[in-house]
Amino acid sequence: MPRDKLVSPQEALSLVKDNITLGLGGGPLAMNPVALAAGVIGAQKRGLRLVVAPIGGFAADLLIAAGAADTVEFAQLALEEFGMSPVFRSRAQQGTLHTLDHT
Amino acid sequence: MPVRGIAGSDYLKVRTDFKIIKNPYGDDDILLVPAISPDISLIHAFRADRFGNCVLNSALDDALLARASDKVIISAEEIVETSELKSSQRGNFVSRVHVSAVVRLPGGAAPTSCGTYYREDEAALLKYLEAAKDPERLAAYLREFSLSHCQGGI
Repeated sequence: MPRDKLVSPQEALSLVKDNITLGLGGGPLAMNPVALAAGVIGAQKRGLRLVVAPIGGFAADLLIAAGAADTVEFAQLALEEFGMSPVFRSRAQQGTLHTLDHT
Repeated sequence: MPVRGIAGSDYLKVRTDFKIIKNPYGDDDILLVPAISPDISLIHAFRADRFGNCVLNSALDDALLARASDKVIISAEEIVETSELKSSQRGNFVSRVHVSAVVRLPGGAAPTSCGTYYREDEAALLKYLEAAKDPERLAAYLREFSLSHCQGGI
């Protein structure tokens, strides 16, 4: 029998430490790991280096807004018909977010 | 990793971690880029079994991200028997060997969309965009958001 890996969100998210590289699935407005990202925000993680694969949106903007992430590697980070990802845009323009661009 | 296509472009101005080397087997230049290997990735699945096997959206690069990551945490709309995952359906199957933990989180992608389960929640997205205009409102939004999401599970 394979190992049972079904756990609570809290137990799963205990794997996420400060200052790691955190990949986010989904597209700009499709299948973002929103609930898990909310858990990361609630656990007050810091110094995350986000990777969106390769286009991110809502969940990445939340993690940047919460101060959990200070770096993001991306090809595009936007909210489709809702325009640019607002916090990503403002922090990148201010120079307070390190961006690794794959455009 | 070698990537030829973008050699000679302005990429090297914005990505100082990209390097040019001489091709050891010829006279041309080779562009090298660091491989992207997240320590952990968070991915929302349509369905998963309790061992970590799962079906992901095939219109996205989530299956590739899962294979590139050291560890993967899957949240799933539904936890089903393994035999149900093997039946024909739309989506990319990812093996449990790539997955460290599975969480049952129906609605876990909202307000973004989730295949045939639900569409994007326009009102909720507009609420975020409105809050993002002001630092104090954004902080209040995030406090409420982190409390109201990621509850329950299993």
